Amino acid sequence: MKLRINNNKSKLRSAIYILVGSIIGLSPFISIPIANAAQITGRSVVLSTSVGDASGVTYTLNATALPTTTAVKSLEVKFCSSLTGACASPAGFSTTSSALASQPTGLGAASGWTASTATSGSLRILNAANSTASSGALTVVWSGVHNPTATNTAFYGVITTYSDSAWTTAIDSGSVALSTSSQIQVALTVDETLTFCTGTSITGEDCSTASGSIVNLGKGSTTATATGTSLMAASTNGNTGYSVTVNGTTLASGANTIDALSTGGASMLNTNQFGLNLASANTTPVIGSAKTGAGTASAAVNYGTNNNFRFASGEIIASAAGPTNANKFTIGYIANISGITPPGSYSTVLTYVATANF
Amino acid sequence: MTNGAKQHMQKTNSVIHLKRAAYMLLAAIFMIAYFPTVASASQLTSRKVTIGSSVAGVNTTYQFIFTAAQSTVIKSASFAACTTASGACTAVAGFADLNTSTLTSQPTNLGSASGWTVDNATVGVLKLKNTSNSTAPTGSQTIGFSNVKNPAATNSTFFIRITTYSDDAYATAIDTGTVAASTAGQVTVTASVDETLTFTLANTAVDLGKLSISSTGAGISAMTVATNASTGYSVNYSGSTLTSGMNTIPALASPTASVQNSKQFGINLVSNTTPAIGSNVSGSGSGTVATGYSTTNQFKFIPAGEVIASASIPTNSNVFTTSYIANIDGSTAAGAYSTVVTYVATANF
Repeated sequence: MKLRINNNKSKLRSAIYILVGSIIGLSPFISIPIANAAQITGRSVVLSTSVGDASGVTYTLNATALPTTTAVKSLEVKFCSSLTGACASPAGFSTTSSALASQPTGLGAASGWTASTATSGSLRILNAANSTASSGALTVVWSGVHNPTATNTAFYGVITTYSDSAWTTAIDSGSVALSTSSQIQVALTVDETLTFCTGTSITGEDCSTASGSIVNLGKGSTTATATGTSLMAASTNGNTGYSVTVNGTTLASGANTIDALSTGGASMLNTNQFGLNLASANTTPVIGSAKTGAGTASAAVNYGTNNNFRFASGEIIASAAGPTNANKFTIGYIANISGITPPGSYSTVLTYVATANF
Repeated sequence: MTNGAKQHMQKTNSVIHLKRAAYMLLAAIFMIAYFPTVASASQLTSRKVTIGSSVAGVNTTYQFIFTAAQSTVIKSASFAACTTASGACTAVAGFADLNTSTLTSQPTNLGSASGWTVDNATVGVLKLKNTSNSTAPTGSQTIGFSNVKNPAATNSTFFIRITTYSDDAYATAIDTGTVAASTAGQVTVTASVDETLTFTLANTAVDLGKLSISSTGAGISAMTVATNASTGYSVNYSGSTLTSGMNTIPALASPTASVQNSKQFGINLVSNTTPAIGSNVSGSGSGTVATGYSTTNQFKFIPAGEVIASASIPTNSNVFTTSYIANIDGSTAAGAYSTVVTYVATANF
């Protein structure tokens, strides 16, 4: 009985030795197909987006001309979580909705290639009728691929060409590494803005440089128009822009006043007149300047016509219809007197109010 | 393990599961209670603030116009002035620091048409509320505050954060929105008007011709007068009557018609027919001829002088024509008669 057991053990050992020997002996032959599959060079798989779990992604396989010129009848890019050990498809990765975006190049026949979605973890194409040897740079584009679920995670593609249309007899192969990644959300808050200033001096359209508040028109005369200018600058990101109103009274000295051009008019000597405008090229008298700056604001119609002056408290003198960069306006003031204009020091305080419309 | 121990263990596990379920329920309740107030605050649209005056530090009006994003009933609203549009609110120096604001009028379309009151409890923040409002906002809302003190800095942008609330304690926000506003410097426009008096004489010599008993010697001079003096001007004349050495032609001491073959010297400032001499006053001014010199065909001359024309208010120019007449009789001594008449205009400022 004991002898029989020993014999059995001996047989088992023998069998193991035979098996090991056979494996060692066969190993050169097992490696033959692998050794024959030449390395595909210049290979890459480009993803239209690396966002994890994204669908409808385009995968583009690029490579230099295949090293073996055997006619390719099928091609596969098999996607795995790792290049070592058994291939496990990356979680969430799917090719079931994929399609050939265009006929491949560099694979032989220029047409007749179709996609196979039977294997979810692989992108496959085939052309059983292809008898043309591969040549030139290889490009295969699949659409409709679903990326692996995990973000910032590497996965791999094993590219293999086959001489048959059943993805069985390998010709060339190569691996590529890919990765999903998280998206970077760049956030920026843009607050509501309104920049507005008045003065007699503003450098450029920079409100921080605004200074001065007195406009001296000089000495009134029946034979010459008294003139002066002030400045204002404004900008806003209000979606319907801004408007600026002028507020105040006409020139006055005690109870005496110089009549405001409340409905607008030309400057006329020997007439009681006070008015202003934002026009660019007054000639009678010569006063004012064109607006400056990159903004889109403009003078109001009643205050933007050359040689037409006006003053009515509360009226809009300038506005912009949309968000605008800064503009600087020159406000030209005129005053005329008649022979009966009472003497005195005339003055008025004008307040400009800007309203932004968000 | 005994059956008793097993039952005890099962009971203990049940209690633990029950507690866990209770905690989950509480957490869910807290989340539901919290998120509506924060996550649902929507942006007020078409919003703006119009300030009555942009002058720093003055009390003025603030009119807010916006469109509520949600139809939730509003019971209060706040308007906080901040140095920035977002982030932590730093109060704007000077804004509503006395907090004496009032409602300009009852808000429009904010809900109830009445019952809104201003709440000045918080310095730097404009508030209003209506505890009993149960009407949802409609269309565009308009809220006006008066007596709001502007920020202290000139030419300075500031931001007002608008929030509507579903309660009257400014706690549960409905909608929010920010508007930007700016103070601005005032522009003082000055001009001076000097005192004026325009007085010109067009003639320096008037030849009355050769006198005879059958004709009247006549001539004219003209003067232009204007002033911006508040009470106008007066023109005075003076001078001796026509004289030739020791001989004189008597002046007409009172308005008198020209009579030939009599000794007369006189003047007036109107158009005459006897003789045909002179013109009425012309020009756009308001000057008038003095009584005694304003009647057609009536002449007068007072050597000591008196006012012959005047204006009582500032006046544009008038042109006065002075007519001189002289008559002689048969006894009038021969000679070259003359006089120098001096006119003086006095403006009364």
